[in-house]
Amino acid sequence: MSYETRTADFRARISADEKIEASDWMPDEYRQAALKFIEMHANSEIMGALPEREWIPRAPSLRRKMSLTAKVQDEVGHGHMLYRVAEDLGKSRDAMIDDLINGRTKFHNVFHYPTFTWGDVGVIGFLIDGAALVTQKALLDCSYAPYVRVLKRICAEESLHQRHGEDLVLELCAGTDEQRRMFQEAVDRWWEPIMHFFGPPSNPEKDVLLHWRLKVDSNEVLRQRFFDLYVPKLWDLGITIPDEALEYDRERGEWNWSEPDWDGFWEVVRGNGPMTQTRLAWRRWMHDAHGWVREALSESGVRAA
Amino acid sequence: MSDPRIDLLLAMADDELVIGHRHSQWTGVAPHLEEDLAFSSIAQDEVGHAVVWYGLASELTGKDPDALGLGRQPDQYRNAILVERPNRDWGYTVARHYLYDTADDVRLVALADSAWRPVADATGALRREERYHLLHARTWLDRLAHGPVDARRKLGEGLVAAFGEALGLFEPLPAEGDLVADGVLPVPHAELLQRWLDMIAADFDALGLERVLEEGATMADPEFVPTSSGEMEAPATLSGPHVERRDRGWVPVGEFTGRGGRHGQHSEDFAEVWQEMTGTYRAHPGATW
Repeated sequence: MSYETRTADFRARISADEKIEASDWMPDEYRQAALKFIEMHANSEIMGALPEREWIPRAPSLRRKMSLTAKVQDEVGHGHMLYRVAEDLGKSRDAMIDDLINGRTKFHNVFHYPTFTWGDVGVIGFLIDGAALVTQKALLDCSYAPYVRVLKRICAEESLHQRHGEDLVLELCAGTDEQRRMFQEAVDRWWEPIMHFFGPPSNPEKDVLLHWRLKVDSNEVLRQRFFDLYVPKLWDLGITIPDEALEYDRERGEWNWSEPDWDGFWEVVRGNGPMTQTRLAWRRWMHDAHGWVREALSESGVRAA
Repeated sequence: MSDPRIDLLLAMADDELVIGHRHSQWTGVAPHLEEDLAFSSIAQDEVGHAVVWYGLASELTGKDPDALGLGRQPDQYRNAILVERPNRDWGYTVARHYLYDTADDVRLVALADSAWRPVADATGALRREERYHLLHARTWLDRLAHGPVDARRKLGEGLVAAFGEALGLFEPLPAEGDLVADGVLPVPHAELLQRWLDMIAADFDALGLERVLEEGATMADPEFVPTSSGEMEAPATLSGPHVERRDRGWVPVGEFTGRGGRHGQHSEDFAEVWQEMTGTYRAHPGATW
């Protein structure tokens, strides 16, 4: 059977909503797209640990100190599971970590920004985890079965995080004037990166991830779903969203919103976000300083075998 | 006069909180993903144990656990200096983890017989978790001790650096005599120290690491620390017994003199821990989170 025929058959399986397993034959284009997408997801989980972990030592109560540690631990755990899924597509975890810390692969734009107050922890836990949950839930229907299995567990944990984030935000909004201001200022800082998170409106016809059903919904569908869920909640809390055009258009049945500065988005994508190089340099340094630990682990693995 | 039981509870709670705080600084950046997950769990357990002890202290002091854990002045913290030190590298981290958790185990075993029931009752749940910490610490100790030359050297350096200050975990409490007489602390710290030495000497002997006991057994030089008025003064820092090999094994020789963590006397590293750990809480009096 020719490569073209096999690819056409494969394409037909996807159109029929069949799921692909790691051991199945797959076209190189599919394998590469899946690997790149899942690898970036894994990278984002472990890079996403960095802005939040800065607040573990500074958490305002003992209970929050423990729950934030647990939450960041979950994110690292998600990275761990996702790297395994990606590994089965043909790239070792060591190679993926090496590419990440040397800036050869990417991680999500929202993890390139600094944090300033506990309000940022609220925004990350409530809105950024909320945005991530919207996109990840949509992926539960994607074509790659091993990814779906891991996503089910991730979504369950992320729902918990998101509730934890909402609880934290409710506490801030019901708190002192300073606490409310802390959260409002954080929303002001993060709204544009959150709009960037969903990506620019794109042509679904040209999206290779949609083509292979590695993604199910377009950027715009996901953004609108996020608005549906979170804009009313923020307004109920008395929070002002820094987009004057934002309103629900009943006739069109969707939200009007202002396009953010997409040049800024592309700068972050190119690795020029405000914290990109600092965070990568730090991770690189920590990684290099502990090569001897990984060596000790691999030697004891050899002995145990 | 304040209740001496508060000193005991705060010593344990502050040890657990500060070591948990230090451990959690590995979260997200540990040398290995699997280890990142394990160490985060241990950090959470330790802070959770601190909350248990603060809860009991709360009944005696009328202050809530957050006010105790995050709202005191630096010289009111009673943790041993060992736990406030920076993580340095993985060799020191494993060394301190092992030395601390073995000492904590010795302490909890003794307190299971405390005449003060709330403390005795609390030890059961804590020890169930600490058993895993000990297993984890011993696994790493063993792995690095048997590892490549570099790993064994880093572990040895970490143990030598941490051992002298680990003795400070056994610094007698301010009213130790009363606590022992009342049976609240069934075993005095001098005896706990001997039990701990027996425990770790057996491990070191098996791993050929006894040089740690010879080289590491002195406490650090005095450090200059700021007083409450901001002046620098040389404190009467804690100096402790050293350990020597006798017929029956390793024994402490000499007494503790001066004042260490159990009397609120800390190293300059504590200033950084205190600022970071308590800053958000202290900046918003009365706020709930």
